[in-house]
Amino acid sequence: MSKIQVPAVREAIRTVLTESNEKGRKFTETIELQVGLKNYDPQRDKRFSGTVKLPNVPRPKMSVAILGDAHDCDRAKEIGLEFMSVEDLKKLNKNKKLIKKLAKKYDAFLASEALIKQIPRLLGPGLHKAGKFPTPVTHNDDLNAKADELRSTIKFQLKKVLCLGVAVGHVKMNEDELVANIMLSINFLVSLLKKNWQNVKSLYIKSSMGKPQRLY
Amino acid sequence: MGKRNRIIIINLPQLQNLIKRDPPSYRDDFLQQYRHLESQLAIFKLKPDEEAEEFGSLITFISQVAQCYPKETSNFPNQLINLLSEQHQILNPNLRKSIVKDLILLRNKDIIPSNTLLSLFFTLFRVHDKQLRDLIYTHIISDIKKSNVKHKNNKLNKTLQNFMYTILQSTNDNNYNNNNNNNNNNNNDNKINIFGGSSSSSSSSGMNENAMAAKKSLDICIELYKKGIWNDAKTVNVIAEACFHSVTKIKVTAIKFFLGFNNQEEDEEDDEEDNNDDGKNLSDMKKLYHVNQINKSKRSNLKKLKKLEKTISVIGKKDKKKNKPESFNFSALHLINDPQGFSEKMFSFLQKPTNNDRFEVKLMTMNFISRMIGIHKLILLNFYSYLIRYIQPHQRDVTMVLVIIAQASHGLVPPDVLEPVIKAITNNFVSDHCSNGVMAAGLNAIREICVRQPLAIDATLLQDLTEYRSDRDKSVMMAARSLIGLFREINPELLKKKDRGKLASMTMKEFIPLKFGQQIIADKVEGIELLEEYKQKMQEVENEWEGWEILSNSTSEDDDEGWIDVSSDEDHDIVINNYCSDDEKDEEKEKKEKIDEQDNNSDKNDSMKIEEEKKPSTLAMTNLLTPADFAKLNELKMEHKTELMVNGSKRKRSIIQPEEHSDIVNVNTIIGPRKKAKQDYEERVESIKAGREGREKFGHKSKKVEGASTTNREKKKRKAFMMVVHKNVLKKKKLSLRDKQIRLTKGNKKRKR
Repeated sequence: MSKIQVPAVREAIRTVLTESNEKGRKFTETIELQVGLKNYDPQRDKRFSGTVKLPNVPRPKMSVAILGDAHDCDRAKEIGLEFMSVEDLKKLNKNKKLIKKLAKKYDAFLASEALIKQIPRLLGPGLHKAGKFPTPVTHNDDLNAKADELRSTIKFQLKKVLCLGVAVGHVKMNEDELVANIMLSINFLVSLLKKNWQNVKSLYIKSSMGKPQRLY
Repeated sequence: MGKRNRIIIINLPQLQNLIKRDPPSYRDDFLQQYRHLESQLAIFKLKPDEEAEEFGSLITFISQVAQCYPKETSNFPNQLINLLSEQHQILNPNLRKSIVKDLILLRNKDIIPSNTLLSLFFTLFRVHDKQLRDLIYTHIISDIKKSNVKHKNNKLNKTLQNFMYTILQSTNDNNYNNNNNNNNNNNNDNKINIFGGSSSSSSSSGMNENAMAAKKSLDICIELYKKGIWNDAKTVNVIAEACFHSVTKIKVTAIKFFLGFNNQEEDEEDDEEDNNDDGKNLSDMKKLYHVNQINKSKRSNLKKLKKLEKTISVIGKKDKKKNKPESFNFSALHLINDPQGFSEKMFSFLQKPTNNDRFEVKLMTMNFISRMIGIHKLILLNFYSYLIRYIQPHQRDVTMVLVIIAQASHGLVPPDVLEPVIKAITNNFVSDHCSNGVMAAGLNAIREICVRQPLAIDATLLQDLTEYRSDRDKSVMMAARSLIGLFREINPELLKKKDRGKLASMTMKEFIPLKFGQQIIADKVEGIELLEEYKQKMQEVENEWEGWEILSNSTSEDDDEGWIDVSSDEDHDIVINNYCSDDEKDEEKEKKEKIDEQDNNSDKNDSMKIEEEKKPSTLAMTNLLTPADFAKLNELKMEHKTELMVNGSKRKRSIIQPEEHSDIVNVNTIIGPRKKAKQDYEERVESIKAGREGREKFGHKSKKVEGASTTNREKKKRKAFMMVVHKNVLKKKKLSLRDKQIRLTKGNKKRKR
């Protein structure tokens, strides 16, 4: 395909935004970046993975829970963050179904530093299997800030197939914020690839219900 | 009847030839033969174990010409198949083989569908006839390959895979009961001696027929996977299922497949690539030299350059390691369904008290489990405590056990689980009463574990271990130092102050070790600040050209991307000119971009410069990095790294990314570099012999061409002694010195006269 340019990206974002405005949905649509790769053999080449923190929060509604000790649970209560204490976790009794349910219920987890080492023992592999292994927090960290950090990080990971998609924003964001998010994620992704742009086959952005817009 | 038959048989090949040339006119002859065959078949069925040569050749004949009379022979293949499937155990081996060959012939001519034939052939794997089995094996593989050439024949593949799965399963169930009875006699390689019911006499391999069939079908699966014909998840899972098979031989084959024992070809390829890389590296280095000399005026002396060279080569090696593809069959490991459940099951099999596998097999199983754990980052906490019992210096294959432990550790294993393992290693391996090799192995193993899980070790233990850095033995010393080197990178706080080294202690303050479960979250593209800095610098140089740019800048958009665009826009062409001149496409692209985006550069320039220092690297957010940018970025990163290593850092260093480690550990990394042992006599002789091979004999060679005549001089030399013994010539030689003198003077006098 032809080259990618900043104005083109802006244009694409604009069309995505107007389209979603025209046909209002009852929810905030997410804007997603979809990537197709080439010249990459997932069976032989090493699978890359990388996480990057975007400047603007792409998924503000992402539900975060904290698995905390007593102190962190109190703090979570104050700010209205969902929490679970050690006792709650022990109640799950290593029951695989319950753990799976827990993992499904939230999009991401935090865990107190003291607790996180026990998590594999308490919960087994369930959380990691779901790709939601908690992030550690110390007593000094601001829980809200940490949760927001989680909400604004996105992960690029190649699985068995040569395409990947990540949420990079939503339609309520303004154009500049979207541009910044999309640019950073594209640049970061390309820097992860072995041959940079030569590995990229296609780039699309689309809102949840809208049409995909080709960038590259 | 006998006489007539003989005539016919002699004529069969001839008839075959004639029929192939002109089928319609020889139809009657053929029909006659065909009827003859049918009557023979009826007779044969009464006495199926007979070696009926005539019958065999008749079958061959019919199958050769079957394609000429498709209507008449429509029933013929089915007859053969029935015969084989009913009586394959009793048939005479030669006849059986010839029938199989005929069937293959018919299949190749596409007269029989592959489905029916393949299911027959799988049952034929039960026959005790190695040649026949090999024949069938190669046929099946080539047949499946052929049917998948143009596009994947999914239907066929699916049925076959299901079929193989059932074969593996059924044999497993049967054997399971038998196996429990036979647990005691497992001393030899093929442990399970269950003899097949009907033909126990010929069973020499020690497996029963079902197991034999299962083994062969497993072999087929593996072969097809390796050839890339069946490389889907289903095949892998069929093979994975075989890992639980009760017959050891089958289990071992399956596990070996996953461990990937035969990858020599790939290694060779890698070597070639390495050579290419070296060449590339060299040119990189030259460039760096050049840049260095220009940038640093003339202060850089030779010594500094040499140091530079060294560091570059080190960095280059590391990078190369990172990019190397995995050499083992890791795709297969990735394809296994439910890795956690699978390895748990595997481990419970391993732990069973009734598990009487030999140690090698157990070790292989452990290795397999550990790879699964390492690759999928599984949590299998009992595995580590299970391994502790094997951590003894006198344990057989202990290096392999250490490798397994290292492979099984990863970032998500709780440190308190790994601690006892490391303690066991230190107690059993790394103490003063241990031999040097053992100590080195222990230290290396600890290092490999810590590469994967840095939190597994605490400061006191680590500092005890680093005491060995001045050990007298070189291998121990190197192992301890490599441990220090590792922790300088991942967590210098744990080291003693003097061990930290210049670079690590300089950056100690900014260093935050990763906590358990923490991930590295980047908030920018790695090394982007270097690129930005570079671009700014270039801009300053380029400022004097601004007038030119403005003239060409006719179209301007109202972009509010601000100053960053300005700076980067102007440098794009510089980047191209210097570094990407080979890439014309890029150049065009850059220029376009430049024209597109050039805006408000002249007026804002100065005011914005103040802001630049406050807000670093928004470049990645406002601009798309081009291929040229990436090329420059990589170069800058390399330069930066070398500068750090040579001069010590003046810049701030963020959290260092731990080096990418491979998922598998090589035994050699545990053993460590060792002094070469002295050769014993046999080895020496062998090496001498190897050196002699292919070289010419030492010593004088006659230059003459073969067949040329000898010279007189040579003849004189080679003349038999007895022919010259009485000659004067020899007598003269034997004279004493005095006599010689007398003779000489005499001769002189004579001459004067």
